[in-house]
Amino acid sequence: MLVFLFILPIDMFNHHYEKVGQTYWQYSDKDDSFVVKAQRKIDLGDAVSANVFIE
Amino acid sequence: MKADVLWEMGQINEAIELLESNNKDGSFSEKVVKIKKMCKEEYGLPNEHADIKKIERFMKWMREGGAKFKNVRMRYYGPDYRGVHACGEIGANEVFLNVPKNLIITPQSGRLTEIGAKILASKVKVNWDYLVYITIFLMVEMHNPESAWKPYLDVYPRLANNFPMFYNEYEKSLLKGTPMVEHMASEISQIKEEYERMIAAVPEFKQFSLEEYMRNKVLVISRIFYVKMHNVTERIMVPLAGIPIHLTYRYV
Repeated sequence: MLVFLFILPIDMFNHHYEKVGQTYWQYSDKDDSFVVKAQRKIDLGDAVSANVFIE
Repeated sequence: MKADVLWEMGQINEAIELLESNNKDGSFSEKVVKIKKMCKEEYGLPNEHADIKKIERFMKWMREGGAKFKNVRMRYYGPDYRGVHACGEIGANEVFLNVPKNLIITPQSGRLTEIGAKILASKVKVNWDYLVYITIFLMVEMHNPESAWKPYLDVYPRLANNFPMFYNEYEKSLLKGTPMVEHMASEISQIKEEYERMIAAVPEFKQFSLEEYMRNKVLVISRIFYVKMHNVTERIMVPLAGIPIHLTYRYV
């Protein structure tokens, strides 16, 4: 329930971009680092959204 | 040209200063104007703005700490409100951000602080200990004027008033008649009780106010990543990557 409380939108129309490039993210044990990669091509100026977790 | 490299690295003002210092004959005037214009367009602020300087310091700190990023820039939308945008094409499946372990905050980072270790040793009951220890780590660093994390903390949100827990009276009145009112009261009460338990167990915890603790805990909740690190599920905070963790709009 706490999570639900935190995602209540208050500012849904206050956005500053037209297109969002979706990404995958994961922790790379090999490199000991957090990596983010594009799900598909992201164009110049697109906002980047890190919202998919791959195990 | 060195100024172009500095611009690409996000060192906007260094690029401008370099051009201006070599502009005795006016041959770089056009380039200076161009960089200032690009700064406004790509970062959302003029180059002389204090927040641009914070972004520059942060990106430099990330790079010096070993982070690698390609074709991404932080963009200023408003006070305490930023995003990450592509400043060039990023191919499908291309890794464009790599943040090494030394720049990642884990619950263990908080347990290893002096006060975190005392909280841990006290065995006081806390809700979601991983959130508590990451919150403690951030607060300890925020209180430390010499913190190595300062460039990150300088671009870290200071306000949480878009979270229901911190709504003003008008915003709360809009929720009347919904279950949210009761849920919020319950969550606030739980955090308050947790805070009081921690103070009873470790009196030094009083150096952090209740408001500070609540605000930082909700900010951590909204920015945390769940990952598998060496076969262990872990919750971590990742500078820069934590900014675009949300979906398209500002839900939190």
